[in-house]
Amino acid sequence: MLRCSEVVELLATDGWRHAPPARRLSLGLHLTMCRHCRAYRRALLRLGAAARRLYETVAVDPRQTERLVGAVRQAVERASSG
Amino acid sequence: MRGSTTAPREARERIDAIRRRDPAALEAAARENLGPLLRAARAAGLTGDDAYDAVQAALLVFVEKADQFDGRASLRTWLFGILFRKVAERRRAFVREEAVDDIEAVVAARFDARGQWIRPPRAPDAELAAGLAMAALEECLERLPERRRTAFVLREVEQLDVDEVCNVLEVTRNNLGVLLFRARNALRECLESKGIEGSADVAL
Repeated sequence: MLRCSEVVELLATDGWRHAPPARRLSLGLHLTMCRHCRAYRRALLRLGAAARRLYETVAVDPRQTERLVGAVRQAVERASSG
Repeated sequence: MRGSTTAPREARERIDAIRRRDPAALEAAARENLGPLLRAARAAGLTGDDAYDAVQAALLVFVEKADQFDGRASLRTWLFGILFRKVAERRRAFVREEAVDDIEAVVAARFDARGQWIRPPRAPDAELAAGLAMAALEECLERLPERRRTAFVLREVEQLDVDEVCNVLEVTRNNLGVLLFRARNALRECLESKGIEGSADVAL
């Protein structure tokens, strides 16, 4: 039986993704029985979803887009003429 | 070859077009990756023009090395790799992780000797509004050391798989696990200290 602290480590490190099947199975069992660890897992999932929403607001300034694409274009021309 | 299912494999023709520096292919590649690159530069701690400058520097390296793109990593992963090497060059302060960190003690203090919760994740304060929660998250993210924030953003926001993030940041799975453990728990503790916790139906 996994300890809660081990569950937290498996979840927070993403270690569960590469854990052997038996360990993943005990993780699943533990989660069905422990509401605190379920709450923890849910918290991590929501944290990720919230971060995605937050970073969606980081948009590239259209003028910067043109400047950057222009720089790429020039670099390509230089590369092909050199 | 490390397996990946997150980023779509570039079609063969596209890889070839990039390798021979087809102008349209390079321009399209740059255009569609500007957003992810800018977010990644921000995650690495660059702000304002510095973030755009890093993106530009990465794109110029991309053009220069386009003939070496072999399509084994997805284009986006490859670009992230270039970007983070640029960031590391610019500021040598993309520092190594400490062997132990306070956040580990903070997490450990939530468990008893048998590894059971003493202080389980707290239920959120239902009165906290959504906007406030996002502002708090932004603040908590800003407090994270850059490497941890970068690892967290590549995994959670860009949704690269574990091995792709390892390639981009040039770390082992274990190192990445440490970065993610610290980032996620620090964010959770930070939010909880502000009365916001993602475990129930608050708008996080």
